[in-house]
Amino acid sequence: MAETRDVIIIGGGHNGLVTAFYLAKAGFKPLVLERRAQTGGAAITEEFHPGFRCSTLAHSAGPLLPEIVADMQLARHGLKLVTPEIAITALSPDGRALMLHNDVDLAAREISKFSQKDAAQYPVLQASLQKIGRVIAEALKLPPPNIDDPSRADLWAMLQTGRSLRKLGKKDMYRLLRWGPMAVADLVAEFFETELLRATVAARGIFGTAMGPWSAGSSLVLLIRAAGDPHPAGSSFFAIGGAGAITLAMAAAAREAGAEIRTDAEVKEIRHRSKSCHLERRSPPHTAYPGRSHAPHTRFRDEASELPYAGHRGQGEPGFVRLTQVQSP
Amino acid sequence: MVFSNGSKNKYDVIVIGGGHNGLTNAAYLARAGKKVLVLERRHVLGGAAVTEEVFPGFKFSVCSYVVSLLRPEIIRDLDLPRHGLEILPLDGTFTPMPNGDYLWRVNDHGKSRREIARHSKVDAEAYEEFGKAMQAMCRFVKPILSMVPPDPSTLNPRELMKLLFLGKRFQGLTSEDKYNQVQLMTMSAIDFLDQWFETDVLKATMSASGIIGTFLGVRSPGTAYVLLHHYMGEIDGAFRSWGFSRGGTGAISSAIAEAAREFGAEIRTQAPIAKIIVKNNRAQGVVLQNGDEVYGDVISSSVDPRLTFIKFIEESQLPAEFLEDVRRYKFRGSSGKVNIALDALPDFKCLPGPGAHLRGAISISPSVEYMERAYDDAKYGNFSRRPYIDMVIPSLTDPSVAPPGKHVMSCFVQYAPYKLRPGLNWDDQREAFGNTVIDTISEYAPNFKSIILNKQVLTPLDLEREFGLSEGNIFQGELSLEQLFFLRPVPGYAQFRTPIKNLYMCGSATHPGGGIMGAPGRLAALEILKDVKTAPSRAKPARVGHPGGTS
Repeated sequence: MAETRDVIIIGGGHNGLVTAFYLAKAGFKPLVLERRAQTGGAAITEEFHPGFRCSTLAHSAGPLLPEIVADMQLARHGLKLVTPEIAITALSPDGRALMLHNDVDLAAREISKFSQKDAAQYPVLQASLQKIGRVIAEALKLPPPNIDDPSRADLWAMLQTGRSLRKLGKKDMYRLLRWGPMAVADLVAEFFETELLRATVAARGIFGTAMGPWSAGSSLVLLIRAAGDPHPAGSSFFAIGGAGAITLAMAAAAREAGAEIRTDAEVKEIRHRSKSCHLERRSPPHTAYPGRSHAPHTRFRDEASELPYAGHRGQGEPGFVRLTQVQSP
Repeated sequence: MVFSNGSKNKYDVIVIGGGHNGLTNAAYLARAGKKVLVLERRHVLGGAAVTEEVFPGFKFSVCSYVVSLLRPEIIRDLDLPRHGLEILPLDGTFTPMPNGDYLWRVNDHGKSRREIARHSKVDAEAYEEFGKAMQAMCRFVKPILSMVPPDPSTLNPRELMKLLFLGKRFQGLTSEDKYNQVQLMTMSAIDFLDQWFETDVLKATMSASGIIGTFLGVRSPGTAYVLLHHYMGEIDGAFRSWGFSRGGTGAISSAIAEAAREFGAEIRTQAPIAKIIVKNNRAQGVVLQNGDEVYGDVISSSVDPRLTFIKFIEESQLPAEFLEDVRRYKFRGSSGKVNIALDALPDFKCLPGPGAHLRGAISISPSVEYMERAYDDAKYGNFSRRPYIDMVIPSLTDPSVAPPGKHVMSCFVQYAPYKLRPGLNWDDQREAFGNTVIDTISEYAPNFKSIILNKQVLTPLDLEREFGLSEGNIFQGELSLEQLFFLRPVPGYAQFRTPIKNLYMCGSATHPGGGIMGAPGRLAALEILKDVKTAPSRAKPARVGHPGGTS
């Protein structure tokens, strides 16, 4: 059975659904193929015990971009987000607890029970993260530029990023440049003396990575998270009905826009006519397949021998597989 | 002698510290006609590039022991060969393995390829490509070593041109090299090498260059760049070559000192300074520990920022924010040095008897896991129970450094964290540290203990006390990405100038960092000359102002 579509999206997780929505909005007729019985990928709610429904994997609404919520009108499609008063409670083995409110002043008041100095520093860090986060957020909204052969749009985007970087002012600009490659443990030590607070903030820098807080570069993870949410320790917000409620609303929005979504539809193979394959020889992976939503290794490792770009290590071609790095935490 | 300022105790430039960078700085300034005085605390010149007869008849390159990064323009400008500099080749790296095998790479590419093919055919193929890729990377990065870092926070066209220059160079790379470059700047040494090779011992040995002088492990992101930094070694234009200096690394410093003297610089040893005299935010001279005052129009400090700004200058003289940045600057020494006088040559189980494999570097880096475990110990405040060791036996190449038939061996040892865990201190741990090194080597060379005549163990604390390297960091501060280029030593002050007028930095704590390179000393001298040329009698105020204003 063969049908033809202008866009096929493999995977019905939240990114696949968002891609489908925007493409449908632009007049395409995307088809989303999801292997499992329900869409949502890692943002799903399931009944794992009779009567108990749980966000199986992702459990907070994370850094969901507000403009996506607005564009997709997710509230109209049934999404209700709630923000608890306390973002995070850090437990100390000595029986004490550090409660960090979403409200920065309240959080600082809690911190003052541990250290006055840290209480004063907390809003300082937040203010800096807010400024720096805004620049990173701008960069996150753009597709990564093709550094190899930048288009006019790429150059313009890079220039804009450079401009907003400079607009930070000397102090925060240098902070961004200096913090990026640093270990998050060093970053928190520059601000706080309370070990529990240091650890709680540093945890954001290792979340989902194979790094430890002493690994260089873990600060960048924190900064990227700060782009969505400048609270140093992260402020959590949740969807009523669990993470699955977000993707349910997204699927509804995508369908309304004109996308078709099929579940229980596993993709076995990507067919391509070898020379005319739209995987261009000199493109990095993230620009090669605009509609990609799978982890790169499952997509490309399996089919490496099929792809025109899958050179071997050390044979003159950089090798498509070599350019992508996926590690499980 | 000509006294340009009419007074005996008045100089155009006073250079603090007679290490290789201080001397290079002095030589370039004297060459330009300045009246220069170098003040060295120790009885011998060279700083960490020094040769000392530690035991009668045995001369050691006490700290830094090999040379490769020394800038060719310095060798030329200062005519160092005429002043006695002679570089002897250090050929290859020999890595003994616990299973009785070994990996022995030499400069001869064909030979190395055949050797690697014994371990893996695929890797032998990849080795060729890897070498080419690294060369391309080096070609991209190398001009950066000779440039004054741009200040990305200004709109000064000159600074913007520098950024544009870098951008253009980057665009000039091939597609593959661009991605390699981005990866090199961000990845861990092992992640980077994993993409090329499968042989564990090969990756472990190559990754070692990525951790030297840092408090990072081979799996820590950012170490790929340090790998490149060490790959850039170049002697007489030949990439990737490392060598010994005849007479030890002190001979390099002596040659530079000779050049400086010939240009008219005055050099005093055993002249420790106590304070830098600052009045109205202007550096005017120094006070020696014996109370003498010496005045100069320009003070150029080759010692690290902690000594320069915290020890030698009153807190009230500096902007608070700048001081905060200096205090934050990371040293975290992570290595020690063990110098051993030998009665005979070590006999390695895996390749017995004397041979060419002893003439190069001998590396104890048998596996990636071994390297990472060595780091694990350091993270929690212990020296590695089984450390990474890089050994050389210079007396095989340069017999002048040991009595006939005897040998000197230099062992660079990582990790030895400056800050030990609470309850331990280096004075009590020195002996145990030395024994660990000897035990480790003995596992590969069983005759080792029986041939030791004497040993000198230098812990990070000793490096701090003896050589003025704060926290024992051999590069005057970690070579981590957040402390490189326009961030070295602190943001906004990467152009050798400081918040105090007429006070400059010229040591390894400035761009492009540590190693016997000389580049910081030379670049700083050129910047100083730019400033004083425009104001012949009086040095021009520092150009880079601090947002914190005046003090």
